Amino acid sequence: MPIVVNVDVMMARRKMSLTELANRVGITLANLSILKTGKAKAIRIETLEALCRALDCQPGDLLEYVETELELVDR
Amino acid sequence: MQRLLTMLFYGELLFLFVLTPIGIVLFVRSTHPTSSVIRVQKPGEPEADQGQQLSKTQSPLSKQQRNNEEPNSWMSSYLEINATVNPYWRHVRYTKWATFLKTPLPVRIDNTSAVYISKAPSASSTHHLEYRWSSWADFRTLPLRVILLTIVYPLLTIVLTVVITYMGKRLFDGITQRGFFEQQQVSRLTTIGWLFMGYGLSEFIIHVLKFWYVRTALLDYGLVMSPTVRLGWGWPAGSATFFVGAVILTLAHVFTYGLQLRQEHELTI
Repeated sequence: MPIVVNVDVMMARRKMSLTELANRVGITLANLSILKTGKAKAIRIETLEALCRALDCQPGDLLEYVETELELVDR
Repeated sequence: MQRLLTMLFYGELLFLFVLTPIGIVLFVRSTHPTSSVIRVQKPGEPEADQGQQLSKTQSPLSKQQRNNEEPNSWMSSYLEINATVNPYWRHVRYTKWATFLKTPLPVRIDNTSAVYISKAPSASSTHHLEYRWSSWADFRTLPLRVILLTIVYPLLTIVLTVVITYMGKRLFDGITQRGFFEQQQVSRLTTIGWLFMGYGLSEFIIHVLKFWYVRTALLDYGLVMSPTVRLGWGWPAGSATFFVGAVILTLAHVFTYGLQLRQEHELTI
C-alpha cells in the first residue's frame, strides 16, 4: 500500500509506549497494532485527531505517501 | 436445525450404504416370474396376470375400435411419457399416486405385438407409462441405455442428497461456532448453490434422454400412435432445484458483500 503509517516513528520521538498511546487515544492495543503494522483499511477522522493530540503532531507526520515501483513504471 | 440435519445425514448414509445394497441384492436374487409386458392399467381394471402376452397379430384394440377413431386435428391429445421403470415391490404405492395424478391410457403395450395408442381421454392429458419389472432377468430385457439411466438417476439423487445434507450440516456447524459472515460459510453456501443447480440440470438432461430412449424403445417394440396423439417429454419437477440453486447463489453473493463490509468495519480504526 503506498500510504505508510509512521505512528511508530512518532512514538519513538515522543518516547511513548504502545500501551500509553492506546490509553491516551482510547483505542485497544489490538487496533493500534493493526494501525502500526499498516493492515488497517481505513482510519476515522476522530482517531486521527486523538493520535495527533496524543503525539503532538500533524496528520502528515503520521501518514506518508510513498510511490511504489509499479506506479513509477506507469509514468 | 443442526440436530435435524445431523440425523438426516446419518439416516441417508444408512440408506445409501446399508439398505440400498441389501435391497439390490435381495431383488437380484429374487425368483419372481419374469414378465416383459409393458402395460398401462385402466381405471377400475383388474390386475392383469404378470407375463400375459399378446400374440404378434393381436392388437390391443380391435379393428372396429381403430376404424371408429377419426383423426381429429383440432382435438389432438398431448401424451406425456413420464417413463419410469419400477421394481415390482414399489408398485402398490406407486399405482395409487399414478391413479390420483394421471389418467391411465386405454391401451396395452406388448413387445410381441403391434402397439396402438388411441386418442387420449382428454386433450392435453398427461399419462404415466410404467414398466413394471419383477425380476432381474426381466429388467435386463430393457435397452441398455434405459437400464443405465434408470440406475443413474436414483443414484445421482441419493448421492447429491447426501452431499447437500452434509454441506448443510457443516454450514450450520460453522454458523453456530463462528457466525455467518465468514469466508468458510460463504464458500459452503456457494457450493450448496452449485450442487442444487447441478442436480436440477442433470435431472433435466436425464429426463429428456430417458424420454428419448424410451420412445425409441417403444417404436422398436412396434408402437403405433393415432394422429391425434402427440408425444412430449414434459418438464421434470425436480429441475426446479436449478432455480433453488440460483436463489442460493444469489444469497451467497449477498453474504460475500456482507463479509466484505464486516472486514472493512473490523479494519477501520
